[in-house]
Amino acid sequence: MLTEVLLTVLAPNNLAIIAAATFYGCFVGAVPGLTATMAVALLVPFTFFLDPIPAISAIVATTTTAIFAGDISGTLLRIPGTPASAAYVDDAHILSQSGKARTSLFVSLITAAIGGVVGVIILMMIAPQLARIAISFSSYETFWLACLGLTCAIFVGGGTVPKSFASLCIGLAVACVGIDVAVGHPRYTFGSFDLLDGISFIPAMIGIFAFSEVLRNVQILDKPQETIIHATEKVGAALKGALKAVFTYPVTVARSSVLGTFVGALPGAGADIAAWIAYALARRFGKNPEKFGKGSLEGVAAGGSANNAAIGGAWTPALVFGIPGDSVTAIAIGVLLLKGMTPGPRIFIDQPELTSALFGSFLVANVMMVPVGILAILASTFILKVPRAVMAPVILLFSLVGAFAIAGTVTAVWIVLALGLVGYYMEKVGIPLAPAILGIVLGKIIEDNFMVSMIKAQGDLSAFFERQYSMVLGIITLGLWALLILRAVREIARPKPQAEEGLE
Amino acid sequence: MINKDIVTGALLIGFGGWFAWEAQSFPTMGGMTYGPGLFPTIAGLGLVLCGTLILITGLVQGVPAAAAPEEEPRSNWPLINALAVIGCVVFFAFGLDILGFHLVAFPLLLVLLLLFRIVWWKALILAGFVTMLVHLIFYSFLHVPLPWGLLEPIAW
Repeated sequence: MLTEVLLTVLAPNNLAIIAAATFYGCFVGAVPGLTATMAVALLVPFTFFLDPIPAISAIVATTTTAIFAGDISGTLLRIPGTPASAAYVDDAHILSQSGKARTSLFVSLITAAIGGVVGVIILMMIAPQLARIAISFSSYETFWLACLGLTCAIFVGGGTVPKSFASLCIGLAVACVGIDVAVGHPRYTFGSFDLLDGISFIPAMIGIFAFSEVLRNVQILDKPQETIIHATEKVGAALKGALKAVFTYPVTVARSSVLGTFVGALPGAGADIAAWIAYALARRFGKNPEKFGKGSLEGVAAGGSANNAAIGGAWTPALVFGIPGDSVTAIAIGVLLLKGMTPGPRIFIDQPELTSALFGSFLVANVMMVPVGILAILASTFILKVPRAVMAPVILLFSLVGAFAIAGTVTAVWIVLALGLVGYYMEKVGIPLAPAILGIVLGKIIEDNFMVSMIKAQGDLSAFFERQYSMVLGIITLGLWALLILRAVREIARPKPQAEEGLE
Repeated sequence: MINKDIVTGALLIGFGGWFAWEAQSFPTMGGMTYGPGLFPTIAGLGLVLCGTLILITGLVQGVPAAAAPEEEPRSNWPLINALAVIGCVVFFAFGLDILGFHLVAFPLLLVLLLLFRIVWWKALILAGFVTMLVHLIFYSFLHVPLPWGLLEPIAW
């Protein structure tokens, strides 16, 4: 089996696709205002035409490099290229002001690769074990797992409880559109033939993540472009300095990588939250906490490794249970479903070569990120100079054509517009997006499994607590609900000032 | 300036209420008290509940203390740009099947690029180049059946 896996992973066209995706991810990640999720949403129409392994490899490679490349604009412009770089943007920028731009970027790159590899290794070790347990799950457990995923998304999504919950309900409402599973009744289709199948997921994602981004970007065209700090450091010296820094803080990098993986595995918590937590912990336990926020390489190393580790972590629940850990894996699950593969424990048993090839591709993507990342660091000034006025219309056209390509009808274009506007508005009033995305993906799973279970149990709700795993999962879920209600009550009793909310 | 939580809350209540109301007309499964209407009802009522909570927080907070004075005179460009983008999408959606891909993509790019103050000859070249690039990638390479519309006679 090993040779077969190696042949798939190292096949020239797979490598070429990973390389192309790496360059693409680098570019999108480095441009301020374009997120890793957007990069993936725009990539999907292309992956649609690839085999499953290259398709997933492309998604993984794009995310990995985009998250790293977010540091480029963070360091040189003080604008995080993706939200995942926000935690340590001050440190990175201060370093670059003191002439250490390249050192800081190389630290980002090296720790990103380390974090990524650690994330994959943990994924490789844990996922098959979990799959062995998950294989005995029936519709009851799947129902609870999906509920657990949604609850988790509210907890970690940022924003107040009512807003996170509203976001979730919006997602669930979107998932309700189309023919229902139980009796085949069309819901909220307004007589449209194309909507009978529900709101197509990929156009919805393109709308929420790409179209809304375009809308935001065209509104700040008038703002003068920020001054770019020109890196003049000698490359060799910078690389040496970066390596030295990474070896000075091995504990921080290791801790952040492991922590990032587990935070990433929580549904709703992505690379950005992982970076914030790792940064905070590094400051707490670091050698010189007073330097944090004032140009600490340790802070950059902590955040840089954690956010890339989170990518691998997010795939654990996605592969094992079919429950996405973040928006990117939510899209990836959508892609797998389009290809007729249902993520879940069966994949590990039925197609072990597939999951192994997937892990292999993860590793290759992380390794390939290093040379491409070095190129990107050297060319960073050019990447950052591409004007928004040109990017916005081009991204818009690619979003529309991409959505059309996936769905094959103009309805997809309307979905992009409608959900793009919804996503834009939500972001504007401080409603987090992650719970809505999970609601769209998991809403169908929850409803399907609920209805199937109820038909099996003939409407007896207590069946949800009869099986062993089902009971444990059910109790955890209900416990989390109780905690959520407590938090909501506390929030209402002591409302936060508005200014704090918008920061998601 | 009105507190945006009040607007958001009201919107959510309205939409959630309608969503749940609509769900009441759905049939039920044989022998059970619920069916296709159950989940939409939950989602709709959830929205009403959250909307109410958000509305209340908005009312409690009241109007935010005078927003920070704008640094520069407010310009209308952000709004015009955003509306233009939305208009372009509507044009794209209506025109795609009738006019064909090229005849909607090229004007869409050109109009937006000009609006965003790209020099006209650069805008022309860029719009043409990107249209052909999308054609190459999606139509020639990925075999997506992009409609030709009016250009059907010269399709290749």
